[in-house]
Amino acid sequence: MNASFWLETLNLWLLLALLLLGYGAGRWQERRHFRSIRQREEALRHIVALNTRYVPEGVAATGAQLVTGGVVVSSDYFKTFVAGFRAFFGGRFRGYETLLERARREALLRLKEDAQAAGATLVIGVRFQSTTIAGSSTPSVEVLAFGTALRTAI
Amino acid sequence: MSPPRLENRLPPEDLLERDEHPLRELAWLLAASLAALAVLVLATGLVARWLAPKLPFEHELALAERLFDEAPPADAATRERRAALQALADRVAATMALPAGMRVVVSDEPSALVNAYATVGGRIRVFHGLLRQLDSEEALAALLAHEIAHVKHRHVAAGMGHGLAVVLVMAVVTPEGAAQAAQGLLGGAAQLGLLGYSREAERQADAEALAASLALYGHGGGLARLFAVLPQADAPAGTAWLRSHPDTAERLALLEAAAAARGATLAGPATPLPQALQMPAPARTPAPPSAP
Repeated sequence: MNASFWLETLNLWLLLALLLLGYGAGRWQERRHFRSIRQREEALRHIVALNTRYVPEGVAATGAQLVTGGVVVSSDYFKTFVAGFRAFFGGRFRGYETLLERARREALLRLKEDAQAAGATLVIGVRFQSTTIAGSSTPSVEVLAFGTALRTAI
Repeated sequence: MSPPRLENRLPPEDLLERDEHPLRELAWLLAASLAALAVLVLATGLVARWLAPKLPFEHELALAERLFDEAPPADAATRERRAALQALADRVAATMALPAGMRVVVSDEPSALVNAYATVGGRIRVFHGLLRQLDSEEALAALLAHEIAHVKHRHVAAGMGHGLAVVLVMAVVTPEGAAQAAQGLLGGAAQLGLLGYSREAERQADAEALAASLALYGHGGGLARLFAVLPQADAPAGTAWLRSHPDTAERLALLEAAAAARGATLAGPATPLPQALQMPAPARTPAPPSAP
């Protein structure tokens, strides 16, 4: 094992290091994010988000206003690497599924936080919208949730 | 009327926890990719190995002229040596019924390797390390006949075609690495005869060498002498000649049987090498040849 061997295979070691970093950091982040999402979902249970166009029957609501919650998430090196192989063989992009689940739930939480700040307890007409952000070797995506916040008597 | 009870259900569990482990997924994907690549490389190589010898020899000649041919040597000793090598090769080739338009061109190389190789366009190169070890014209003729047989049966084209086809497939995976490999193949590997012929090709070349020896000298003594000086299969690195070749003892036994079947033996008188080919021993012991 001389120096030239390590130099010649530098690309391979670099790839391995990046994969390891992507895997370790990505998984740690993902775990932490899911824990935080779960906590905040519990805390914000009193704010209800629905995708109905009209105020549910029997609910007295006032003061409609637009609330939004947006989040931009990026894939990590490991996920992108695995996805490259996936694109070849087909099947579920498992790494991206968890990534986008996090993004949707986070966007909805930020929408609820926005509603809470507005003093509302009900959000109707909730929609999700996503935009990919191009120009990066690892894909990133924005997920935006928006709806109409209402003050209710309940 | 009481207001309806509205609520958002919490997800039962996070997607992260209920899915296949990502490392497991990666392992499967990598294994499948490698298997697919191996099948592709194998199939492409086999097709190329079958196809390449079907190309006209002129294409090989054009490639050889661009890749291997160098300016004629300046010093008289090298010129004489090459002329003597070429004269012997022409005598050997005359007995081997080469197809029309096929001619071998022999040159030598000042390298300590005990080696010789045939490459595209009928170019044959003998290293000085081997010339020093050979003690008779018969042995050198047998060696040349073996290499000429590789040219005649287009083993060179098959090996080169195989190598280049594999490089082509690899270019899809790693373009940079493939470019390096192609360069090595057309430069280094081809020059060191590392393309690797099958054992069957080696046996065919041995049989041709025996036939040529019998036609020229009436005995196969040169082959026995040649095999005595060739490095053994377990010889140290750098003696590449035998690596792709069947075991020496096995080859000799096969040749003895073939000679006996034709009423000849692997023993006979030895003629000294022409003066021009008698190489002086090197002034100092050369460094042990390193692996290419």
